[in-house]
Amino acid sequence: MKTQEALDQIAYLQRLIAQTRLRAADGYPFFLLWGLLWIVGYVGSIWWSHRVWVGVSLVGAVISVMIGWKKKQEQPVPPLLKKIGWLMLVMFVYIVFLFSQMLLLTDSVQIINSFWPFHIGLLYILAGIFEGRSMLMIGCWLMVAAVAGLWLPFPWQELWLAAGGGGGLILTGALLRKQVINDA
Amino acid sequence: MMHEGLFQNLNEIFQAKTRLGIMTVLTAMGDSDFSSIKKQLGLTDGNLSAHLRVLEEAGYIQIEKKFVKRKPKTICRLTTAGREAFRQYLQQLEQIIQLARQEEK
Repeated sequence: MKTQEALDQIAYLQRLIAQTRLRAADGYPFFLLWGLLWIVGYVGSIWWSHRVWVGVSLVGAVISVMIGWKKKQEQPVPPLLKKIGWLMLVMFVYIVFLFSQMLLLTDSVQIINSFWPFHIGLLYILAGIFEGRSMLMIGCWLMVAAVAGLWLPFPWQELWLAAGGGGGLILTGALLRKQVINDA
Repeated sequence: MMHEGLFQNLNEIFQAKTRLGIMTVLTAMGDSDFSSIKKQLGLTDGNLSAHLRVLEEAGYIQIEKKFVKRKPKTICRLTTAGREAFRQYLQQLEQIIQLARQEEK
């Protein structure tokens, strides 16, 4: 083996490792989807009841599973991402439990509206520990938007969370998509 | 003058690009199935099988065939010896590059 061959092998190794590493950017379709659904959910709940969220969540869950399945077919899921996925699922179930308990304690629409952006933000921050800055930033932003929304009356809180929460997710998704296109 | 010994001691099994790729994928992703490795490296079934056999015969990987949801699945995993040999190989590659840089100076 010559020095140039050693260099070629190292370059090949680096390329392969880059392909298999965790990339938050690959999750951009989820950000775009849920950003859009948050806008539909919050704006929809101004005109209809908050039950619109049941339909929105179901549609989101079904499309998310479809996107996840398609991605899994395209590229194997790194083991660390699988573990993060399971951790997020456990946390999500815990948050659903918290939500059910909170409904017993309060019927404040402001608190109910801000509950999910706050806790989803928290989940993103946790995921960001493994997946990088973009997840941490959107997580922090969602928590700030949720807390700021507590002081806004109906329908301004809904509009704020649609723009700040849903819009934030869409903006993040668009930036991550750009990153994926540039890396390709 | 390059240290000839460093080149001579390089593990020949890893010098084939495909086997280097297989070891890298298994190191980075952990236990992987045949089709994942094939997809990751863009190989044909026959080509991948041949290289996996070489690595298995050297004792660097273990191949387990099992059924998952009634479908046959071939799982490949690094052995301790394989992990150690690959680590040494990477160290040697680094040394070669460092020596080349020193000679350039």
